Amino acid sequence: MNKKILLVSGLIVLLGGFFVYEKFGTAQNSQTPIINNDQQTSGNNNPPQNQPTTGFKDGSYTGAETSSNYGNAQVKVIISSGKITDVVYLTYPKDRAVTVMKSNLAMPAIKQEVIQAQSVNVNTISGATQTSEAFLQSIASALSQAS
Amino acid sequence: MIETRILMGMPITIEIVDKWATKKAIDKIFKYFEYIDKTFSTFKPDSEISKINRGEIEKNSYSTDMKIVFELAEKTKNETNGYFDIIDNNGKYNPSGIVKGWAIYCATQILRKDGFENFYVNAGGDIQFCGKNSENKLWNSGIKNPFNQNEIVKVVYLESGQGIATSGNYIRGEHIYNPKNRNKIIDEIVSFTVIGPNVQEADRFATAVFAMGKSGINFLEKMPEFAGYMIDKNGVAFMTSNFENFTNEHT
Repeated sequence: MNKKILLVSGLIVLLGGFFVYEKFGTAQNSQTPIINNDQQTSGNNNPPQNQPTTGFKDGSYTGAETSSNYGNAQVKVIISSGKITDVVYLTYPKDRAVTVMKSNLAMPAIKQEVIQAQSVNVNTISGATQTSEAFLQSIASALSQAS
Repeated sequence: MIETRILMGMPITIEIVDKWATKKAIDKIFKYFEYIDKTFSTFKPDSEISKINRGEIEKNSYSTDMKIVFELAEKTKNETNGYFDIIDNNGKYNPSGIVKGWAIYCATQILRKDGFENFYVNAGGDIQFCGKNSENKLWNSGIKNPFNQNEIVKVVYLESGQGIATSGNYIRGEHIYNPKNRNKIIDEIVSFTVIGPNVQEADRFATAVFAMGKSGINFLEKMPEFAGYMIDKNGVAFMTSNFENFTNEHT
């Protein structure tokens, strides 16, 4: 009987401790991102004062290169105003047959083929000219700044 | 009757197969493109767009064409989750990414009004087709090999009214950036061809899906009125599930 009470109170203490840890412990932990800051700050370095802090410092953070069964993976995470605003894939598994299959699973309707030159007379040709390319580059560079 | 001229730094070809085609009718279309250049070129200080960018024209005083292009740009920005935007890094407007397809479409509307039925207009590789070709068959178009400008890698057959546009990054060493992520260079994709209900639609989405990188083909797959053929740097092409409907000479 006494043992039962002891066991139950022990459980309560454990659960209570876990609750306290969950509520305060992890908040403490999240002050230190487990990824290395590579000091490439991007965007706004100073979040507005009245915004609640999430514990993330602004900047761009490069994760360690990690290996998976399908190849190595490495990401960069961009934080601005204390929020994750982007994840960049620096390295991703792409060079093994099984990976190609998995990529295809993500887009089942997309067919692939190796391009081959055709010897057919056509009425006209669609393609990016150097000028339309210049257009595109100008647009893209403009857009990159506007984001 | 077919004629090619270099305007706005790119070749523009107009072919009319109707017997009543005249040089005058073709001249009228080239004049229209000259007007487009004078209005929308950010390189010309006297163009309307340059005046707008210098703050010399109030928004409600824009020309009708300018208003149409701005509305189209806004619509495209919304439809592509921000992958298309005409505002550049200095906060200036540069609508060149949307003007070409729209102007080609307008040019073909002029030809229709002038009584022509069978023709195409190709401006810098973006094409609007109307009617049939000189053999009374569907118009066809090659897709240029991004690795060899003198080759084509695909032939597609298009219905009257449909358009095709290709965005590309053919010169090695120069990069297009993902507008949503300037750290990520788009070097995976070298050419993205879009077939759409008309050239205006094909062109604005070709520009946007190219900026999306490889996921652009998935974006297009969800839009049944479009078909896409995307070529990556390794010479592998990815196509939407409806693309092969265009590679057979159906009637």
